[in-house]
Amino acid sequence: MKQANRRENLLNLLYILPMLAVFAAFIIYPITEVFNLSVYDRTSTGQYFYVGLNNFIKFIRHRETSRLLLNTGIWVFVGTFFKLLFGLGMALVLYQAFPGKKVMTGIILIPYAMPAAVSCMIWRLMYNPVFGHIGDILTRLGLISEPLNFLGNTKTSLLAVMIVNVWAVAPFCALNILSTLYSIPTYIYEAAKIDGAGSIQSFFKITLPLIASSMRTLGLLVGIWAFNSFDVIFMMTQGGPANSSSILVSNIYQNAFQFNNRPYSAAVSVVCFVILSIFALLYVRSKEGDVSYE
Amino acid sequence: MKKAIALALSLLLAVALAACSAPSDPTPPASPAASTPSSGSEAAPSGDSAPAEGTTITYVTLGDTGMNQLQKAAEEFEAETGIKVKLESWAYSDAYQKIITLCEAGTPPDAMYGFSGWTQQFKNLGYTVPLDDLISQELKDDFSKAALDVCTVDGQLWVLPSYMSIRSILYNKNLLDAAGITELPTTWQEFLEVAPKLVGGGKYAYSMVAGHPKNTLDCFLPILWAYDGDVASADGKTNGFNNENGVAALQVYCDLAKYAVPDYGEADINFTQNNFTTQTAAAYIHNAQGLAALADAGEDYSWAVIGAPLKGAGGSQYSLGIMDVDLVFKTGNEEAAGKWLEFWHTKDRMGDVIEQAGWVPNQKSFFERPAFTDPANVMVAPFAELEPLAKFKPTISSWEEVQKVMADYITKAVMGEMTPAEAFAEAGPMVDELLQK
Repeated sequence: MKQANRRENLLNLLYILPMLAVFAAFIIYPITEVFNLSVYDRTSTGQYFYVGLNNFIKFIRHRETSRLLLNTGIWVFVGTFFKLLFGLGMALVLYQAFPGKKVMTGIILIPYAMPAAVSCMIWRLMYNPVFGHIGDILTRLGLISEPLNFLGNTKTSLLAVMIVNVWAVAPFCALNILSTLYSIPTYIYEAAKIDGAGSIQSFFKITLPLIASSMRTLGLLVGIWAFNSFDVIFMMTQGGPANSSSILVSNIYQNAFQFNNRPYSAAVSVVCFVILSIFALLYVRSKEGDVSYE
Repeated sequence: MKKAIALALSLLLAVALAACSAPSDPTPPASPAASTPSSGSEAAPSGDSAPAEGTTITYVTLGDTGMNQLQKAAEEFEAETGIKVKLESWAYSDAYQKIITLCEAGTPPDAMYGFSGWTQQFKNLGYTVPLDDLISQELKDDFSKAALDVCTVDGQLWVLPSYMSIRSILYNKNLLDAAGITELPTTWQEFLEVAPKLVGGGKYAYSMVAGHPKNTLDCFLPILWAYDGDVASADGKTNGFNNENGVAALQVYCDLAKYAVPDYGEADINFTQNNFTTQTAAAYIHNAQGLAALADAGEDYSWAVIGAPLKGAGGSQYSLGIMDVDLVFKTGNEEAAGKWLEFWHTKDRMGDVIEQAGWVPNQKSFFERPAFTDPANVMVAPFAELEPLAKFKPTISSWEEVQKVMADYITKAVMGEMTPAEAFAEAGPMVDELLQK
C-alpha cells in the first residue's frame, strides 16, 4: 500500500515536472541572477567586482530612498484604498436597478478599457497649466489664483498621477465587487428586512461582511499591481520633477536602463522582492476566515 | 499511455533546458569589452582584411532622421561596394536604453547615430572602437575643429561628428514691440529687468525646462557657462557649479521661472519650442528647428529674431552646441561600418539632411551647398555665425546620472524647495562622487 502511494506521488510529480522546469528556467533562474548581481558592482570600464551588501547599504543611505519608500507607500496603500472605495461606490450604484444601467456600466468601464497611453495623453492635456481645463475650472471657481502645474510641481505630481491611476483601475474593482454582490443570495436581505433592518444596517451587517473576503483579495492584487506598475508614472512625469513622483519600481528601471547601473538596480529589485513576498504571503492568508451565512 | 507521454515530455524539457542553460560561471555577464562580441548582422571576420563583398551591416538612425537619404545612399553604397546596409530607426527616447541593452547582450548594431554624451562611457565600457584607422584623413580634415574636439578622447577619434545644432536665444519681435522693448537685452540681468513687461494676457517672457532629466541642462547650461560655472572642473574630477558662479547662475534660472510659461516642471524641449512658435513665450533658447517647422507649415515666422547669447555677470557668453555623432561598435564589421560612414558623410548625402533640418554644417565641404552660404537663409547663417561661441556638453562617463542629479537639484531650487546655494551644496558632492567613480 505504502509503495503504491509512493509510486503515485512520484507519478504525480512527473506530471508537474514540465511546469516545474519552466518555472525554474523562467522564474527561479532569473531571480537567482538578480540576487547574484545585487552583490556586485562594476567599474566604469565594465569590470564586475564583488561588493557584498554595499549596494544595499548605498540604497539605505541614499538621499532619495526615504522619498522613494514614502512615494511607494502612498502610491500603493492610498491608491489602493481609493480604488476600492470608488470601486465599491460604483458597484453599489450599478447593483441597483435603474433605467440606462447597461449604458452606465459601459461608460464606467471606459477608463479601464482605454489604453494607458491614451488616458495619460488625455490627462496630461487636462492638467496642462496653459490650456488644460482642470486649472481653468479651478481658477474660475476661485480655488486657485494662478495656473497650477499639477504634473510639473514637486508637491502635486504624485497626487496628480495617482488620480489617473485610481481613475483607470477603480472600474475594474467595481466589476469585481459587483460580481460578488450578485453572488449574495437575496433571501438574506429579505430576512433582514423582515427583522426590521434598514438599508444602512443591511450594508454594514450583510453586504460588507460578505464581500469583505473578496475585497481583501482584490485589494491585495490591486496593491501588488500598483507596486509593480509604473506605466502611468513613466508616461506622465517619468518620476519627476526631481523624483517627486518616483516609486521603487521606476527607480529600478531608471538605474538599470537610463544609468546602466544594473548591480544597484538589482539590489533595489531584491528589496522589492522581499516586500512583494510579504504581499504574496498576505494574499495566500487572505482566503482564511471568510464569512458565510449559508 | 499517459505515463509515457509525461515521461517523454519531462525528458524533452530537461534536455532542452540543459542545452539552453548558461555555463555555471557565478559572475554576472561580462560586457562586450570582456567577452567576444557577436554581431546581430551577418558578420564578416574581424581583422585587417578589407570587408568582404556580401557583408551586411546594420546602421541605426533615430526618429527617422534622414531616412530617405539614407535609403538612397545605402542602395548606392551596395552597388559600389557590395556591402549591404540594413537600416533601422529607433525612437530618440528609447535609444540609450536600447543600445545599452544590446551592447550588454553582445549584439549591438554595427554603427548608429547617437549623442556625444555617450562617447566616454561607451569607450570605457568597450562598446565602441576608435575611428582613426577606419576613416580617411581627407574626411577627418573636412570636419570643423569644434566638432573634432568634441569627438576626440585621449587623442583618439572615438565617434564621428554628424548633426550639429547651435542654440542661442530667440525672441518674438512682436511681443517685444508690444511691451515697448526696442533694444534686445545683452545680459541675463537685463533680460530679467524687462521680463515683467512681457508677462500678461496669457503671454510670458520666457519658456524653459525645470524637471526633465535631460532637457533641464539644455536650458540651464548657457546660463551656467555665462556665469563662468561649469558641470565639471577642468580636470574633470570635481564639480564646477557648487561655487559662487554656479549659485548666481541658478539664481538667474529661478528668477526666470517667475516670468516663464508655467509648464516648465513637466516640459521637455519640445514644449518650449511649442510655446515659442505659438507666440506664448517671448523668448527661449533653441536652434532653428522651430522656425523650420513654421516654414514647413507655410506659416509666417518673420517675427522671430535670433539673438546673440546673453552674457553673465563677468561678460562671458556661450551658445549651446549640441553634437550628435556616429558610433561604430565592436561587432567584427568595423571596417565595413567605417566605409559606410565615409560614404554617408558627404555634402550630397548627409549635407542634404542637414540642409532640410535646419542644422549647422560641421564639415567644410558642406558649405559648397548654396543654402548654407545664402545670407537670406535665416535657418543656418545666424546660427553658423555663433559656432565660435559654442560650448558643448562635457564628455563624462556617468553623464546620464550627472545630468539627472543636476536637473533634480536645479528643479528643487526653481520650485522653491531649496535655495540655489543649498541645492548646489547638496548636488555638488553627489556629482563629485559620480565623476570620481
